This record gives sequence, structure tokens and C-alpha cells, in this order.
Amino acid sequence: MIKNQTAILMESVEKSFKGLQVLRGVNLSVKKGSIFALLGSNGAGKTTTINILSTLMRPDKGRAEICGYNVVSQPEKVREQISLTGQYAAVDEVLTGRDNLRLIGELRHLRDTAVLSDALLGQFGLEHAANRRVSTYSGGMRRRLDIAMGIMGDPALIFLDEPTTGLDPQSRSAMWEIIKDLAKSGKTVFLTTQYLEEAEQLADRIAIINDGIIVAEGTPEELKSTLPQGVIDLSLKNEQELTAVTSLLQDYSVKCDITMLSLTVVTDGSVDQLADIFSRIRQNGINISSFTQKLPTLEDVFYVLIGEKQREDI
Amino acid sequence: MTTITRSLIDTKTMAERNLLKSISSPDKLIENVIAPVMTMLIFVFVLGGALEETTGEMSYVNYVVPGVILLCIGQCSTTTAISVSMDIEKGIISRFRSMPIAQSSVLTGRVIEAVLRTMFTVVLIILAAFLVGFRPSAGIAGWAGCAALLLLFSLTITWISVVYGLLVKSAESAGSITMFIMLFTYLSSGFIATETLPSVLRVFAENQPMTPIIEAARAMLLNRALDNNLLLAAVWCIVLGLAAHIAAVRLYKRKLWRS
Repeated sequence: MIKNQTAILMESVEKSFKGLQVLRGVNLSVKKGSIFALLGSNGAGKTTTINILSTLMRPDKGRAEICGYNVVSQPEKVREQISLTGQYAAVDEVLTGRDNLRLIGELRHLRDTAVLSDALLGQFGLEHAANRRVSTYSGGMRRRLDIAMGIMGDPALIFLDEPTTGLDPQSRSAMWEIIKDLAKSGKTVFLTTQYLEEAEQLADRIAIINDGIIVAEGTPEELKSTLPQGVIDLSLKNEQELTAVTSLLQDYSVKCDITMLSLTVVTDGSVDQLADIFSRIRQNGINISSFTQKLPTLEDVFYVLIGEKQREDI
Repeated sequence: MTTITRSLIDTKTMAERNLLKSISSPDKLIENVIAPVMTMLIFVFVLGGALEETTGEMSYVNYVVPGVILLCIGQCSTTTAISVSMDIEKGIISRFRSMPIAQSSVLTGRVIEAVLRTMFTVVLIILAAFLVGFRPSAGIAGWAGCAALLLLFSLTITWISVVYGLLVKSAESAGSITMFIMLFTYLSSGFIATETLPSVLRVFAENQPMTPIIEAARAMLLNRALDNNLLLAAVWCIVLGLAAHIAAVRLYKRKLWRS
């Protein structure tokens, strides 16, 4: 019974707005009880994907199912399985945290909503602020309340749209713990993020979306072997040297910036590769004015992934 | 649970949510009472002396109160337009939309709260009117008829403001509905006799919905001849209200499939 193990299924899903194609045939499959991260930059199609899966939007083409229920023909069944926490905390500012939770409980027709609200306030570390208006809450507290409202009524599948965007580092790591705990309690979590590190930290599986298409998918380990692990920025003195180094390193993924006289080289993060790069430059008598080593950004990842695709196409 | 019980329970919860929000931020409520009261004071004490001649044997305060009440009902509905578009902007409607609830309750709960809040402010306005010399001569039937008409008008204008809230791009621009409410209330027989208006405005004032509603309310409160004003008022309210209700339900569905 493979089907029963599948929480989310998307097949060739397409969606356009006013002639602009936002999703160009998205295929996804998410196992029950796992954390799945959809990684992409702004405008890649992350929120549209979540909106389709949570019955807010109708796909133009393709099929989308939640726990075996079709999002278009059985939206009521789908809504019983899910909870959606959007990019901005959807809470009532003038009401207290407790009232916000209680009202969601009433809408889910639960018994003892007061008891359930108190339990959730405790679970999310909000008991001290339970009777305060949400307008007095910090950004992190609002997100926590927002997620608590989402899991009121015990939905099996939780959608989190960029749960850590705009949070300070401390609230971010607190949010990571919350997400891990949700998965431990048996829920399926589908989250979107712009941060590679966040996806690697949290997810059992990651899909990278760019321009409405899934460009890579796998476990963090699988992706690690194909994705860059390190990036070096080299600064050079003049254009001649820049061109010379670019051609010396042509078997690496390199990005050349002529105006800044800088070169970005993507590596696998190993010392061997670093030594190789620097010895090639030294052997040719070129001096580097400065260099920095950093973690790859999502843009670097796309650069490598899309660069490889183009090479394959040729 | 049957669909009907489910939608009744959800509507009650939604109305409760909105009432709780109104009570938690009474500044809006106060504003909705103060603004019409100020208008009433200005018209009665500043302009009333000059306008008294145009209203015949009626005292000007008696003449103007029905118009002030309608203005107040209109002001109250502005809050509804703003709240509806705020709920969309903040993603609260998206949350409701992704929940297994009776979707009709989102708008109906909003309307129920608005009508209750409006009726409460209307009572306060009438009390204030008594203080400045308003002396109605209606019997029980007159009061009951007037209450029913104001309730119907309040329902109509609330559904219109829900449509407005769903149509505008942001909560900030939702407040602009006040402009239309002022236009229709002032260019009616609410504050001056329409005979005194220049011909173009007069045609507008005599044929727009606010005039028969105000005329009917005034006739019932002051125990005067209704003519066909009550019928006209009721037809206007029911037709506009139904149209707005249908439009609101459609917009709600469409907006959320797309946005």
C-alpha cells in the first residue's frame, strides 16, 4: 500500500497568472511523517505550490493530492488533513493569544477548547503571554502562536511557508526545534525556505525549485554530493590576470566579474581542491590580491545546477 | 453533523470573533458615534437657524435626525470594509479558506457583527439626539417600523461594504468607501429640503436610494404621511442588498482561487 504512505503527490502541475507561467510542470511526492523542504529564491513558485496544495488555488493542469484526496474535487477532505501557516503571521492583533487559539478550536468543533488552548500555549512557551494582546508580541512569539493555531485540532500535514524569514537567529533556531518536534510527533511537515542551510538542517528530503521547475531533489546527503560545499572569491589586479586565472580553472564552476576584477570558484569544500586551485595560480606566477572562503548561497547552487544542465544540453 | 448545523455553529464563532475584536478596540466604535454626533451638533446649532425656514412646520432638529442616523449607519459599515480587506491582506482569510469550515460563515459572521454593532451605535445616536431637542411623535408601530427599516438598511449597506472590502487592493484604500457614503447621505433630503438644490443635483437627490429611506424613517418617527416612501425604500434595500450579497459571495470565491 504505497499510496497510503504518500502525504503529498503532485503530477505535472502547471499554473499561470495573466500569461506568466509560475509553475511549469511540478512533480513531487512526500512521504507521511517526514519533513520536506522546498528550496528556492523569491518568485521561484514556492508559495504558489503551497497555495495549490492547501486548496487556495486551482492548478491549470496536472494533478495534486493530499493523503489520496484530490485538491480540486475534494477540497473539504483535504482541509480536514492540513493546516496552513502563511508567510505572515495570520493572527488577530487586538485579541489575546488565548482567544486566538480558542476561536480556531471552536471553528474546528473541538471540545474543551480552553484546555487545548492552555496546553498549546505551554507547548510553545507562550503561557506567560496568554492573556496579552498579540499586538504586544515579538515576531518570534507571533510565529509560534501562528503555528500553534495551525496544529490546533491535530492535522496530519502541516504547511509552513518560509517559517523563519524575518526572524532573528535565536528565534530561528527555536523555530527549527519546533519543526523537528512536530515531525517527531508523527506529523508530515512541508516547508519552504530560501536558505540552503535551513533545508539541510531540517529536511528528510529537499526539492530545489527554480523558475517553476524542480531542478534537483533528494536527501540532504544525496544533494551534498552534487551540490557545491564551498565557494572562494578571488580578487585580482587586472583584467589580463583575471582572464588567465579563468582559463586555468576552466574545469571548475567559475563566475567572472570583470568590473570588480573578482572570480567566484565553486568547490566541493575539500582542502585538496583549495590546494589545487592555489597551486595552479602560483605556478603561473600570478599573485592574488585577496581571497575569501564562504558557504555557497542559493545563487551559487543554481549557478552550478543550471550550468551543468546547459553543459548536458550541449 | 449536518451541513446546516455546521454552518450555524461556524457563523456564530465568526460573529463572536468579530464582536470580540470590536469590543477590544473601542476607538473605532467611539469614532463611529462621535462623528455623526458632531455632524448633528453642527447642523442643529450652526446651520440649523438658517435651514429652519426650508423645513416648514418641522423643527430642524426633528428634520435632521433621520439623516444623521443613516450617516451613522454608513460610517459603521466603513469599519466592515476595512476589516474585510485587512483579513485578506494579513492572510487570515487564507487560513480560514484552508480550514474545514462552512466557508459562508466568514462573510455572514462579519455581517452579523456589523449589524449588531451598528444597532448599538444607532441607539446611542438617538439618545444624543434627545439631548439636543429631538422630539419624535411615533407610537409603537412607528418605532417598530423605523427599527425594521434601519435594520434592513444596515444589512444592505454592510453587504455593499463587504463587496467594497473584497474589491479594493489594500485595507488603506478600503476606508475610501466613506466618501461614497457621505456623497449619498448629504446629497439627499437628509439635511436640506431637495427643492432648494440646483436642478441637476435635485434630480440626483430625489431619485437616489437614500432619499426614500430617510423620508420613510422621518415619516414614521414624526408620525407623518408615508406616501410610497416605505415601499420604495424597502425595494431599494432588498434589491441592492441581494445584489451585493451575490457579488460578495462570488468575489470571495474568485479572490481566493487566484490571489
